[in-house]
Amino acid sequence: MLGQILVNGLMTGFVYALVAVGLTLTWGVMDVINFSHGEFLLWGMYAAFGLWSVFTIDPLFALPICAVLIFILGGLTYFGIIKRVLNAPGLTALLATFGLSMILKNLAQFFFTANYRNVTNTIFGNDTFRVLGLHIRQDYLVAAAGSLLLTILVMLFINKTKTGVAIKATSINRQTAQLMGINTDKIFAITFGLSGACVGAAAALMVSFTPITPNSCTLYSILAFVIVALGGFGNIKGALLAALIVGVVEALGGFWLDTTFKYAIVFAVYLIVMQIRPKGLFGW
Amino acid sequence: MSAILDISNVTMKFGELVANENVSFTINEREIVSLIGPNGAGKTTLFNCITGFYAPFSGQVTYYLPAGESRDITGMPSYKTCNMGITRTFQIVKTLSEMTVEQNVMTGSFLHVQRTREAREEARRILEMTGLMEKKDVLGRNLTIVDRKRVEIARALATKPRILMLDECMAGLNQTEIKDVMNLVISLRRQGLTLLIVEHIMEAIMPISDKIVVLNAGKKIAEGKPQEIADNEEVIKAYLGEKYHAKSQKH
Amino acid sequence: MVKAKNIFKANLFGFVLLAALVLIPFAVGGNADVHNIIIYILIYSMVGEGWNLISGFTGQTSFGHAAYFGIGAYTVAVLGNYYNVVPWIGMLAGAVIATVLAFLINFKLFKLKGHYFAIATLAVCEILRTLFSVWSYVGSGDGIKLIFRQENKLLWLAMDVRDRLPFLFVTLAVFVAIFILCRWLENSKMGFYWKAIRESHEVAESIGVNPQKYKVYAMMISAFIAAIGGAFYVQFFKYIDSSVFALNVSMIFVLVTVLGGIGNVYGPIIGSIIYYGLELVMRRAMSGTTSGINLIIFGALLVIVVCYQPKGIVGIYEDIVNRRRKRKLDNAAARAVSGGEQQ
Repeated sequence: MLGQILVNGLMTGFVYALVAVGLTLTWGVMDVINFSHGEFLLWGMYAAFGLWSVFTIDPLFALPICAVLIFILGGLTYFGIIKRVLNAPGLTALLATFGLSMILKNLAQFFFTANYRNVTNTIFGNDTFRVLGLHIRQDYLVAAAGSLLLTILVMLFINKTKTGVAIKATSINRQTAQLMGINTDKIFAITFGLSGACVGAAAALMVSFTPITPNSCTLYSILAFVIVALGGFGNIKGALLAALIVGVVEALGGFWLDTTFKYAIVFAVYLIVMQIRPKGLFGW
Repeated sequence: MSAILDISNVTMKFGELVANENVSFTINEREIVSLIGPNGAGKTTLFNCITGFYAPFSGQVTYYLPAGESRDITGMPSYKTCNMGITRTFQIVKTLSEMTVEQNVMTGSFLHVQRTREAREEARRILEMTGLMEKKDVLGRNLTIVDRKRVEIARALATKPRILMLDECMAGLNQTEIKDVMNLVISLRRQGLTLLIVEHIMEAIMPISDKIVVLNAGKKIAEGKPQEIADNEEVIKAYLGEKYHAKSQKH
Repeated sequence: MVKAKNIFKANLFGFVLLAALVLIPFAVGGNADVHNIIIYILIYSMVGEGWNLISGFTGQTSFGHAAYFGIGAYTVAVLGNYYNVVPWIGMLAGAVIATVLAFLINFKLFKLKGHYFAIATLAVCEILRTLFSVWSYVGSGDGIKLIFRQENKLLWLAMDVRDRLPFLFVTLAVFVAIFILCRWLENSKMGFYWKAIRESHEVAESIGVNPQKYKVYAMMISAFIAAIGGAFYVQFFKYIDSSVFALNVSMIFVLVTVLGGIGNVYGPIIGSIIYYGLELVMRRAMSGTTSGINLIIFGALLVIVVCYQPKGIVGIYEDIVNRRRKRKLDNAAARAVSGGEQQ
């Protein structure tokens, strides 16, 4: 039984990681937390839903489209909002993105109402197969594997490509990066867009087993923040590890106590970890 | 003259890098002591160790209260040492930019008074003394660098310290402004203050210091009256470098 | 009498607002909608004033103030229903509990800075929400419905929302008291220290201020005030459940204060007026339900205001005033120069 819980938790964790990766990037590079991250995810899910219900495109194939769509949303957000609050004091950017989240969430509610939407009959449905005595749902596995793959792709992008290294440099020291000839404006836009793309992809992966409704997106925002904070901002590997921890803790907490306590346990863990390491597990 | 602050074998390390090594000297009441040395000698680090911004790796800083009692203040956080009578200014001025000049100084005054009205009166006294009265309603972020430095000192004075520590307060000032600061320092000493000054500008500190301590590469290389220091070979070598010192010796 | 005149001039806007809040309830006659909105505005402004102390003056942004708000509400409900305690006493008890909780939690929490702290406050509030949703003593998921016992009517001293106008004025009176308290705090030693801490912990320490101590003080007073708001909240709704601890509730306090003007005592009330004013207007325009359009507008307003003037509407107002003052000075200077030249 424990093994089952752990596996489920890990799979959830991988998906969380993809959701959190974008957030940790924007935090690390621009010191901006996108409070509307959950709403980005929501719109990604609606996009996948729309493509599935209107054009019967399986979410897995819709993934690139969703990623591109939310990439654009991220870019627009950067040029429209983030750019103006980059150097503002305190948590101004956070509040600006919260305003955006209000807009996005209520727009979604206005167009799609609060009714749950579901995507069914996908290629990888909810058949399970047995491995080592554990039941593994196909769609969970695909989502987890897809998320892990994409997270690794992002890591490679950051570490091995010219743009990626530029992003890394900007996150370490903005001014020096500028002096080195890096167009930080472009970098910020790409980073924000990339964060959107990750979340759009995650949305497409999740949509086959997650009911879509505007009210659930806030939770994902909060979970993403906790993961990013736990992992130390800007640290992708940290975010991946923290996401896995959160996924497992959530699963274990739900099992040992009650599903209502799932998230409370996660938050309690966050508080405890932050006492010991105020800058996150791997933050500097 | 009785001792007010004793720095004893203070060593500060950052990882493997030794910033201060076994530095010792004593400051007596109503002395003006200047701490000098080439760039990177460890002056500000020592300063930070004395005022509690860093906890030194080893060594002890002892503070002597007016009654003669001594307190070990090594590594004590600066708000505690401030309450005991030791106040410092910062090399990079940190004016409270959202407050006016008067409010900046008042914030310092609140260490000893409780009521806003009293704090304002106290602050105005100090503004008069430091020549800032005219600018009392100017916002911190609209001040020139020079005025910010004055506010920094004024705010520190508002905390009624027994010993005031100035960290490179004269950098960037012109001749007149430097003379003003020198005069202020002397008048403060006359009022009973003890001063520890970190400085680069020799012409400013030589005439006013009772004692000069010279640091180089983390170690104390000389201590004494200004004239002794000016003639000290080690000091000259430290500032001019071996080669030039050797050259100057040849003639 | 000069002093009184000065106070009046300095707080002109406040007095005008006060007059409006006193007169409007009468002007609209029996219009319950308007009365309700005013009560809403006052309750959220109250809590906003409290939030402003720790997040505005002291610069430690809290996203979990619903914790103290909810505790205030629950305490009044529990003491009132189970022990027949008068709401005023319940309110005080709730405020004390909230203050103690603020002390215990933030003692540790203030080790964290900036974003990490904000998320931690959020985490605490979420944990509270989960606990209250399963705690049978407080009705678990069903919450508590207030019991109005007719024989206690006099004792309740206008905390009975069924007498709407007296309740409104009592809420107004308490809000005014809180407003004055916050104003006073702003100009006190504590206020100066808080603002110093907001700008720089280092500077504060160097002039003898222990940042942790004063941050905790700010949070405690802030919690006390938030709990009072919660007491009025439960008296108004006659019902409370664990959804009071939701992030949405915490964020309303944040939003109204930020839009109105964070760090300024007028901020919360200006922001609340806009927030609930929008809701009222939308509800009228859409006959019944707002469909969230008011929230879209509010979100857009927030984004615009925050992008251009982080100090909110108060900041925009100050900008206009300063610009006019500067133009006047420039004009006077120009006139002086040209006048001199004509000689």
